[in-house]
Amino acid sequence: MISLAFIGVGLGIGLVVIGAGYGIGKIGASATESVSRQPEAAGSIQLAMIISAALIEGVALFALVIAFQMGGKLTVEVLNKFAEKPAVVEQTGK
Amino acid sequence: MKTKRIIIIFLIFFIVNFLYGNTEKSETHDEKPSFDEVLTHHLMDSPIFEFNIGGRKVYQGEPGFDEDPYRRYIFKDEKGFYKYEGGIPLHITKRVAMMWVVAILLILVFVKAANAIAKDPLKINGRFANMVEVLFEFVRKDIAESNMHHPSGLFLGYILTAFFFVLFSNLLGLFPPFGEIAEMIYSSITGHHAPHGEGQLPSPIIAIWPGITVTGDIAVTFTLAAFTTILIWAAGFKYQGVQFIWHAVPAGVPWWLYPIMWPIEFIISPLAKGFALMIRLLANMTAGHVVILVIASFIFEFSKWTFLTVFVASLSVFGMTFMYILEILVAFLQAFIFTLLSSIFIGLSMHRH
Repeated sequence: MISLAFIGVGLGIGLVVIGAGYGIGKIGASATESVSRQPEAAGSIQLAMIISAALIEGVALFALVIAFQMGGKLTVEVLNKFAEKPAVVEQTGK
Repeated sequence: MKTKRIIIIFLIFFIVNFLYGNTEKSETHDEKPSFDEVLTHHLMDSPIFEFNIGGRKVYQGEPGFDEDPYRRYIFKDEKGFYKYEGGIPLHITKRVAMMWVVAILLILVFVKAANAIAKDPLKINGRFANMVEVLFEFVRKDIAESNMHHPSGLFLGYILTAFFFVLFSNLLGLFPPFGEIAEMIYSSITGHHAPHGEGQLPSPIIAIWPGITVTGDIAVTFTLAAFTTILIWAAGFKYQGVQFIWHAVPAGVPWWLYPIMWPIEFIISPLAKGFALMIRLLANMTAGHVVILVIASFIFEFSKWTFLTVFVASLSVFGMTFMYILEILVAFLQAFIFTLLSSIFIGLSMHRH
């Protein structure tokens, strides 16, 4: 069951990216629309676009940092503690 | 002229590669380079000089040695591995040395430009001074003064300093590490190699230019964000006086909401703003470097199949070049965003809502 934790981390990152991508996409869509309606206001629209994109990106990065922390918590000791059978063998990868 | 310069750069590159490659081959290298080690070397801090005020050395085997699982600040002398217990750890690390490089460059650029402009402020004083002046005016007008209402010199100075410090450290993190190149040339000329391995300090020549991203460290971004958070409160008290304490809550809120609204508006809100600034800068500057390293690691992952290697390597080089150009854009954008949000947040507390 503990291996589901890896899926949880991956799903968390994926959901964050979906949300942030949807938000920034909507900002970009409405910004291009309003620039084409009123090209002389392009400067201030771009500024507002960058600010709101940065705020959304900040929230997305919080979630990503928490997901990375979750991934970092999944060490071999934790996995062995919760695994029923057999024990996880550490892969050295060398 | 131009082709001559390019040829010289390529010659230097090949000579360094040739000399260093020869010395590397003489040692036994049967292991594949581990990706974790490469990531740690590029992104994590490591000491160049050890410098601990007070404290005592704890050697391996003594109690209190194995508590830190990461083993980052462990040194080695003739008696074995040791680390410091207590005292003030002030090891000169790669990032500290890089911060000095950034500071020296900032002083050189701005003192030179300021001297050139001060000679005759109404005249155009050459390309270099003009370029600095354009950037300076952009930050002053479009970032600071358009978002803060008549800021005093302190706030302007903070925004300008933060912008140029973040910009320079973001951009210099993308430069090749000249210190390591100098160390390679030195060791190939003299034949003297710095000892390699855990606990060994690298050659002090690296300290010339370690080439690591300063803003990729949480301590640096925490300090910058803490300045902004303190200035949010400072601007409130400076421009509104003591009333700032109760004017932090917007007018028109019913009195029974004050116990909830006041702590959120006065305490949690500036702290959350600072936390967001800290994580945003750190994550953006780290993520780009990780992506470039991951694309580079594809070449080594596919090196078993000789047929695929050429294809994957050419794709990787193209991808890395693309990401590198994107990183230059991100370096400017993050310096802009950091100072823009700082000045908006500081400007918000200059007036009662």
